[in-house]
Amino acid sequence: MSGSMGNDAMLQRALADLWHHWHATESVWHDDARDLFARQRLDPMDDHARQAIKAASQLEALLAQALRQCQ
Amino acid sequence: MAGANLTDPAVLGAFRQRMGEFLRDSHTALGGVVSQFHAVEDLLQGELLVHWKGQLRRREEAYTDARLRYLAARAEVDQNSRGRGGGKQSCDEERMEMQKTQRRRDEAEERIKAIQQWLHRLRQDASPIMIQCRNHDLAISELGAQAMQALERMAVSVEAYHDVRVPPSSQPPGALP
Repeated sequence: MSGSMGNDAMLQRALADLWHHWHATESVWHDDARDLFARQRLDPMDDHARQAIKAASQLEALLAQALRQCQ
Repeated sequence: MAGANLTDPAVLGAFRQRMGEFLRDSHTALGGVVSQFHAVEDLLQGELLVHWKGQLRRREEAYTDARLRYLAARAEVDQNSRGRGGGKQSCDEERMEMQKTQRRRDEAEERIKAIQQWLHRLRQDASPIMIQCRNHDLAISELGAQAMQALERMAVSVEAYHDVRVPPSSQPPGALP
């Protein structure tokens, strides 16, 4: 709202960065262990983060609209 | 999960550090969303609504005064048209001033209505979304903490595994047994 990066965009970038670094670890994991860690630890976080990005985006749009119409 | 599945503890440590950064950024972003919601609600309720209610009072008074001036001027014009004196010929100026103050009063009323509608909408529509963001923040923090602990356990296991594999002959000369 202030022209800086929105919170939704900040979270999206952080999530993309996390996955980017996760892929960079590929060569040092055994496939089974890597899949298991992703499935048990990263995927649930990813689900929450994606839903949070969507919610944050909706909320920021609503707040921006409120400010436009009330100020 | 066995620590021995990993072949390079340094990569594991680097990823753990990156996950810590993700958790900090995520918390900052979602905390920011919640703060933003409260800031806008406070602005509307505590500043803009108060401001425009004050404006409405002042503008209502200005309109009442302008209307009285217009009515007085019109009465004077009516008297003049009946040949009872050489007063005002027209009350157009007072009428325009009254209409101007009326528009300003109406504008204040519309602003107040818009702010009240938005406050209602923020509580009805935006508040549940804000709560979702807060819940996702909590869930990510909790899951992230578990993942960090798992990575820590794996790092310890990998280090122990590597320590076991270091043969005594590879120790530097003079090293304690």
